[in-house]
Amino acid sequence: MPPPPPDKGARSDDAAPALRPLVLAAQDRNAQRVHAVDGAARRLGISPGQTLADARAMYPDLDVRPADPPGDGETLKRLADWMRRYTPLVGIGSWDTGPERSLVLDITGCAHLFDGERAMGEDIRARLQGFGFQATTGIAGTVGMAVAAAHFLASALVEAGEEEAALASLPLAALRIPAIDIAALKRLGLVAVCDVLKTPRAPLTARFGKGLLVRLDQALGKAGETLSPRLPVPDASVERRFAEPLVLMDSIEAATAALADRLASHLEPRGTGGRTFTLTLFRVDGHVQSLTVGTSRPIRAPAHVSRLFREKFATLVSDWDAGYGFDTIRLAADHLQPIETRQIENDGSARAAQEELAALVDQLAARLGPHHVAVSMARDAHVPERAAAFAPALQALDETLKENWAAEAPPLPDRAPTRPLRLLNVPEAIEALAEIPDGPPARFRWRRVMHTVARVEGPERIAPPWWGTAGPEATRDYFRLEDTEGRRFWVYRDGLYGRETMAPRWFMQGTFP
Amino acid sequence: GEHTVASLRTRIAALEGRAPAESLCDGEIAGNRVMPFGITGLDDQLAQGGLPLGALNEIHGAPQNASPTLASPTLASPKLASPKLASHGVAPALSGFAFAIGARLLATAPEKSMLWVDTPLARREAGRPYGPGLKAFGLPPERILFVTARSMTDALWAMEEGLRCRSLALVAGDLWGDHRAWTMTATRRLHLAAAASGVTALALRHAASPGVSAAETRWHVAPAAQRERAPPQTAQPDPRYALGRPAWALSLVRQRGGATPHADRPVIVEWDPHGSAFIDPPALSGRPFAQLRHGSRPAIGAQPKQHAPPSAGQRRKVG
Repeated sequence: MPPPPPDKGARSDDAAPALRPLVLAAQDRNAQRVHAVDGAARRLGISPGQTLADARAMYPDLDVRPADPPGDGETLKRLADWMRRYTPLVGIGSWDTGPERSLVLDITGCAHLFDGERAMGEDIRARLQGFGFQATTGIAGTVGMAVAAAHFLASALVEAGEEEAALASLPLAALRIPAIDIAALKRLGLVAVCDVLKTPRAPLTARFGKGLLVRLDQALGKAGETLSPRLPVPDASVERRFAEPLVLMDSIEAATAALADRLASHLEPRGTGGRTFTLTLFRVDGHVQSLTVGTSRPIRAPAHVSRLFREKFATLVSDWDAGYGFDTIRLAADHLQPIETRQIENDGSARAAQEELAALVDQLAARLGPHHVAVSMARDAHVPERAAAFAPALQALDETLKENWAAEAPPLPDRAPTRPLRLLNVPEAIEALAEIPDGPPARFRWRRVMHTVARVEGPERIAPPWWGTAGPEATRDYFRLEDTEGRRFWVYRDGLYGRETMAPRWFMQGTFP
Repeated sequence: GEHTVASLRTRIAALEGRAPAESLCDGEIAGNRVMPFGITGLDDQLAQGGLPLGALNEIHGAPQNASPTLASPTLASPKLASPKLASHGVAPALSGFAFAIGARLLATAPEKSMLWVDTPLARREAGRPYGPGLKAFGLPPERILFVTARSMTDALWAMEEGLRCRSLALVAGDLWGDHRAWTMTATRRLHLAAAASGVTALALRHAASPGVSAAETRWHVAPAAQRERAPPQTAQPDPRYALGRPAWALSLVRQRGGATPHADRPVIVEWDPHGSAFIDPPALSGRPFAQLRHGSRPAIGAQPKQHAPPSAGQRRKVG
C-alpha cells in the first residue's frame, strides 16, 4: 500500500495579524521585488514577483521588511525536527522556488495514534498556526499528489484511486515543474493537468524532456518517489505522549526510566543491545532537545541506560529550559549489536572485571564527554610526540589494546627509562649553555629556574621523516639530564650545528621521575 | 584488661573505616589490606607494615629548603621562591612515585586496571602521561584509563566513581593547587568509598598547602640526587648508562593511628622498571654494575669524543 504522506505549504514569514499589510522584499533581477506577502497584502492584490515600487504604488502604507532566506531555511529545519514528533520520516521539499515551503511527512502506520489521517492533518495545521505559520495540509498516497493537494486543494484528503480525478482540474504548477516549462506549455495551450493527460506522451517528451512526465507519473503513483528523511531513522525507538506536558526534570527522569524499560523489552527478543541511545524531547512550542549517550559495548538493561541519562541530565542543570513543558518524549537506540546473555559472576574473573570497567567508562563518558575518557595507544612513529596518542575509551578499550602495546620494548633492568613519564603538550624553549658542535647542556634555564646539569645520558638522534609529512624539519639530539637536585629532564637540540643551522635551539620535551 | 583494649581498638578501627590489626590474621584480607614496599626503612614506619590499601593516601612535594636559583640576580627575592615555582621541579617525582605504586599494585593483581584522573591545568603544568614512558617505567599502558575532568569538582567525582569499581586496583588523582572543593568532607567521602570497595585512592597534591584531610597516610616526595645515594666507585662511567634507576626521597609525615617519628629524615628508594618493584639503594653497592652507574664526575663540557663505547675491560652486567 503506498504511503499517504501529508504535505503542507507554509509561509516562511510569521503571519501574525498585523495592522499594516506585511511584505518581505528581496533583491531579484536588478530590482527590489516582493518575496512574500501576508494575507492582508494578498487581499489587496499584491503578489510575489512584483517590484516593490509597483506594490508601494498600489498601497503606499505597506510594512516592508527584508527577506532572510538563510534564516528561513534554518527555521524550516527546526520545524522539520519538531515535526518528528509525528513520524521520524520528515523531509524538506527540494523543489520549492517561492516563499512557500513544503514539508513532507510519511505517516504510514502512524495515523491511528492521532485519531486518523484527517484529524492528524488538522492537528498539524492547528499547531503550526499556533506557532505563527499559515499552513495547509494535503494527505494522499503519493508525495506528488500530497504536495499538489496541499498547495491547491486546501487541506484535502485524496483517497487511493482518486488521484487522477483530483489532479485533473489543477493548474500545471501543481506538478512541481519549472516555471519556464509552465510558460512554454501555456503558449502551446496546455494550462491544466487534464490537458497534459489528454496529450500524447511522445511529443511531450521530445519537446520538454522526461521531467514533465516523470512528475506526472509520480503524482499518479505510476512512478516511484522516495522520501529522503532529514535525519536518519533510528534502529529501535519507543515514545510516549503526555496529555499534561512535563516540566520538572524529576518527572522527565522517571519517564526516561519507563521508556528504557519498554525499549529493553523490544530489544530482548532480538537479542541485541544498542551502543548509542538518543533521548529526544519535544516541547509544546516547537523546540526540540536531544541528548545522546554512547557506550563501549552493547547494552539494554534499563537501569544502566537510565543511569547514563541521569549523568547527562546532571551536566545540563545550568541551562535547562523546559518552557511550557515537553509533551512527547522518544528514546531511540542505534548501532544495535548482539549481546550474549550470561550471568555476571562476582568472583573476580577477568570478564566480570572487563564488564565493570566498561560500565565505569560509560558512566564517566556520559558526564565528562567521550573524549575526556581515554586510553593511550601506541602509534608507529619515531617522532616522540606522535609515538602515542589518546583515543576515546568508548571505542578503543578492547582486547586489541594489549597487542598494541606488546610490540613496544619491555623495560630494561637497572637502567633509567629511555622515555619520559610525562610529555609536555608543546616542547618549551629553554636557554642552554652547551659545547658546540654536539655537546649536551651544562646549564639551562627552564620556566625561570636555572638548573646545573650533573649527569647526562645520550645523545639519541631522531631525524625528521624524509617522506615529507608535516612535522619536525630538523634533526633532534635528545639528552636525558639529571641536575644537581636529582631532577631529570628530556631535552633536545633542534638542528645540527653547522649542517642544519648555525644557532641551534634547545627544547624541553618531557620529565622523568 | 587486654580484652577490653583489644575490643575497643576493633570498634574504633571500624568507626574510622580501617581494618583492625586482628583481621590481618585472616589470609585473604591481609593480602588486600597493605602493600609492603619491600624497603625495611619504610615498612617499619607504617603501622600495618605497608601502604594501606582500600584507603585514601596523599602525596605532597617536599618543601624546598633552598630557593631555586634564579637566572637574573636582580630578581632574587624570597617572594619568588613560591611553592608553585618549586612545584614544577618536584611534580615529576610525585608522578613517578604514584605510577610506581600503580605498577606495583597492577603487578600483584593481573586482572585489574588503574584510573588516572587529571585536569587541564595539571596537564598544562606538568605535561600529559606518555605511553612509551609508562611502558619503559614498568607500567602496562593498556591497563590504565586516563580521565581528564574539567575542574576539581569533576575530578573528585570521577575519583569517587572509580573507587566504586572493583576491577580497579588504584585510582590516582593528579590535582594541582588549592581548591575549595578539597574539604575534609570530600576527603572523607573518598576514603569511605575506597574502604567500601577495597580500591586504593592516591591524591597527588601539587602546589597545594597541606590542610586537614581524612587520608590514611601523607607523604612528602622529592627527587633523590645521585650524590645522596651510594658513594661513587670508579672514574669512567659509560655515558649511555650514567643516570641509573629512578629514585626518590620519601618521608611519611602523617598516618592515622600511628606516629611519624622519622618525618624529617627521608628514606631514599629506587625503582626497578623491569621487576616493577621498589629497591633499597645500599643493597646494590657491592655489585660490579654499580661502578658504571655511580660515576664521580659528569662527562660534559669536554670534547665530543667522550661518547665512545666502553672499552673491552669493563664488565657490563645486564639482568
